Amino acid sequence: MLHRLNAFLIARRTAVTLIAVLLVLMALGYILPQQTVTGPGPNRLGVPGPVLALSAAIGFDRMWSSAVFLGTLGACLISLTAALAHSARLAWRRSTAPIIGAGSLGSQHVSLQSEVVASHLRASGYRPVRPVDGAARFIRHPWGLWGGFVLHLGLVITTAAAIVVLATETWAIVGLAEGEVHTSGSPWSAEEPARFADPIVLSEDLRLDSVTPEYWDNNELRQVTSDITFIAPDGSEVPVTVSVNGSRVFRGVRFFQDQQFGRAFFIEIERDGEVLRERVEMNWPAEPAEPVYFDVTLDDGALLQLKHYADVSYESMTGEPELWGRWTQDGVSTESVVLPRGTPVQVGPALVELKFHRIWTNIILVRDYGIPVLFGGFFLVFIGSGLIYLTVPREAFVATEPGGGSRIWLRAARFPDMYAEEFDRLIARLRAESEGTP
Amino acid sequence: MTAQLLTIDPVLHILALVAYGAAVTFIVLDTLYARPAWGRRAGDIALLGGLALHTAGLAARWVATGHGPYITRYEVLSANAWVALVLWLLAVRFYPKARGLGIVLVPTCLLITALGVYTGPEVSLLPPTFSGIWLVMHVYFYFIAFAAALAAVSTSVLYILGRHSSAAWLSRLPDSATLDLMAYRVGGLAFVFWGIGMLTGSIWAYYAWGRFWGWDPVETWSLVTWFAFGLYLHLRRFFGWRGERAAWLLAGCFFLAAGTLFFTSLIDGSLHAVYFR
Repeated sequence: MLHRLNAFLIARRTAVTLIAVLLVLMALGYILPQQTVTGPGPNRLGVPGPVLALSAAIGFDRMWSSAVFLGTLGACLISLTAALAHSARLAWRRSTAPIIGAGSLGSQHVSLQSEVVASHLRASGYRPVRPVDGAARFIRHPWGLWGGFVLHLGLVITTAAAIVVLATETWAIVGLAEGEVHTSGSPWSAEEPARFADPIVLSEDLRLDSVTPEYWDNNELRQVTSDITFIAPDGSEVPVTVSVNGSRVFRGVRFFQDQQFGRAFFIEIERDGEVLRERVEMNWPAEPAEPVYFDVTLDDGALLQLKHYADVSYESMTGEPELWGRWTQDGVSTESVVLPRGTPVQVGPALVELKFHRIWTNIILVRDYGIPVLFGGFFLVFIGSGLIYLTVPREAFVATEPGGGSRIWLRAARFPDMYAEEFDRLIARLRAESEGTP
Repeated sequence: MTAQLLTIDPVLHILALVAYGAAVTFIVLDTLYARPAWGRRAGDIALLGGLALHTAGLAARWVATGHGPYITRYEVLSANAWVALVLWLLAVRFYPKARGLGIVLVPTCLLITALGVYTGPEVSLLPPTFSGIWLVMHVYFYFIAFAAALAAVSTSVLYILGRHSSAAWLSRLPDSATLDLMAYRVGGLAFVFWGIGMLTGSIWAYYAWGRFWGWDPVETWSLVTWFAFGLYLHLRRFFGWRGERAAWLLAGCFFLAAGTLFFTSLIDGSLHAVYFR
C-alpha cells in the first residue's frame, strides 16, 4: 500500500498533472485582476463583471493566498518530498554501486597494469570508490550524482517556504508628511491582510522626520530616503533610515521606501469671514518645467485650482517649490496667481494663504515569514542545477585481464556521446605510455 | 573625463564592428571554401581585436556612467553580444567542435552589436530600484542564458541546414549527431541560467518592491520562456524528441527568449520599462 502510494506520488503523470494545475491557476491569476494593498490590480484582458464577481466569491481575486492555490502547492510539496526521498536513495545507490542507466562509452584493452591505469585516472580527476566484482571503480565528479537530490531538496524547501510566505504575508501602507506621526493602533492608509496571520500592529508610534529626494543631473530620480523614528510608549526613540531598495526590519516588520512622494501644502482659505484649513497632497513633478495640478472642491461647488512646480527656477527638481492658484466657479476662472509662503493672496472671492509645506511619502510595511528560507531553497536549486548540467559524473572500471594488461570501461551518467572524445584521449594516453611514447 | 569616455565609447564600438566584419568575412570564407589558408588565423585575430575594442568601449561607458551595461538598448544589446562572443571563444578553447557554430553565432553578434550602436549611445542613469548585488547577478545570468540560447539556435540552424542540404561546406562542420547533442547540452545550460536569472531577479524584486513575483509582463514571459526550454528538455529526455523537430523547437525557444528580453519591457506599465528604452 505504502509502496503504491509512493509510486503514485513520484509518477511522471502525477508531476505533470500538478504542474498543469499550477500553470492553469497561474494563468488565471494573471488574467483575473488581483487585489493589492492599494486596491484591485489591472484588468488586463477586460474580464467582464460577472466573472469578476465569481472570482471574488471563490477567492480567486487573491489567487496566491487562495485555498485552491495553497492546496495545490501543498500537493506539490508532498509529491516533491516523495521524489526527494527517491532521489536520495538513487544518489546513494549510484555512489556505492555501478550507476544504473549510465550510457556506456565502451571498453578497451590496454597493455598496462591496472595500478598504472588507476594512477592515470586519478590524474584525470577520477576518484577511486568501492570496487565492484573485482574491478576497481572510479568516478569523475562524484558530487554530480547528488545533483538531483540537491535540486529536489531546494524545490521542497522553496515550495514549503512559498506556502508559508503566501499564507502569512501582510501588507500595509502609511502616508505621512514630514513631522507627522502615525500613532500606535490607528488605521493604516491602506492594508492587505494575510489569510493566516494577524494584521500589522506596531506598539510604537511612527514619526516621519524627513524625506530627501535626490535627482541625477538629467532630472531622472536617483533615490528617495526617509528618516523615520519609532517612539515607544515610555518615550524612548529608535531612528531608522529607509530608501528605495534599502529596506529595514523593525520588530519583525520590513519597512520599504515607496517611490510615491510629493509635497503637502497646508493652506488657509478665508471667504465671507469663514476660514477653511486644507492639507493638499500633490505628487512631485516629473520635470522642472512641468507642474502637477490639484483641485480643492468647496461646499458650493467652487474650485480652488492649484498647480505646483518643483522649484521656482523651473530648472531644478529640488529647491523651493512654487504654488499657483486660481478660482473657478460656474465655468469661469480667474487669472492664476503665485501663492507665496506666509502671505495671504486674493484669489477670486477668497483670501488664500500658503502657511507652510512639507514633503510627504508612503512607507510600505510588509510582514512575512519564511523569505530567508525561500531564498535558501533558491540557492539549493542553483547548486543542484549546476551539479546536474556542469558536473556530469563519469564512471570508469579497471580490471586486470587474465592474459596480461588491463581492461577499462567508461560510462557517463548523462550525455554519454559528449564524452566519447574524452575516453578516446584517455585511451590514447594510456597506449602512448604502454608503447613508451611520451 | 566622463565626457571624454562617453565620446570614445561609440568610436570603440564602431571600430569593433569593423573588426567583427572582417572576422565574419574570414569565418565565412574559411567555412565555405576552406581558403585562404591563413583565413582561420586571420579571422581569429580580427575577432580577438574586435573583442578587445568592444571590451574597451563597454569599460569606458561603465566608468563614465557609473553602472554596468544594462539600461539602454545600446548597452543591453552590446553587452549581450559581448558575453555571447566571450563564452563562445571559451567554449571553443575547451571544446574545439564548437568552432563550427561561429558561422551563425559571430554574424549574429555582429548584427546585435550594430543594432545597439544604431539605437544611439545616449546615457540613461540608474533609477533608485536599480541597485544591489542581486540586480547585477540577475542581469548577468540573463546575459549568460541568452548566450546559451544563441549557441542553441546556431546549433539548430546548422543541424537543419545539414538535413536539407548536401553542400560541401557542411561536411566541414561537426556531424549532425554531434550538433544534435550540442544543442541538447546548450539548451540545458540556457534553461539553468535562465532559471537562475529569474530566481536572482525575484530576490532583487523583493528588496526593491517588497514582493518576489508580480506578474509583470517581463516576469510572465520570462517564466513562459523558461517553461519552453523545460518543455524542450523533457520532450527530448523522456519522449525521445531528437533531430529536426527538436531543433525547430529549440529555435522557437531562442526567439521566445529574444522577445522576452528585448520586446516585453516595451509594454507600458511594466516595472522593467526603465530598461531597454
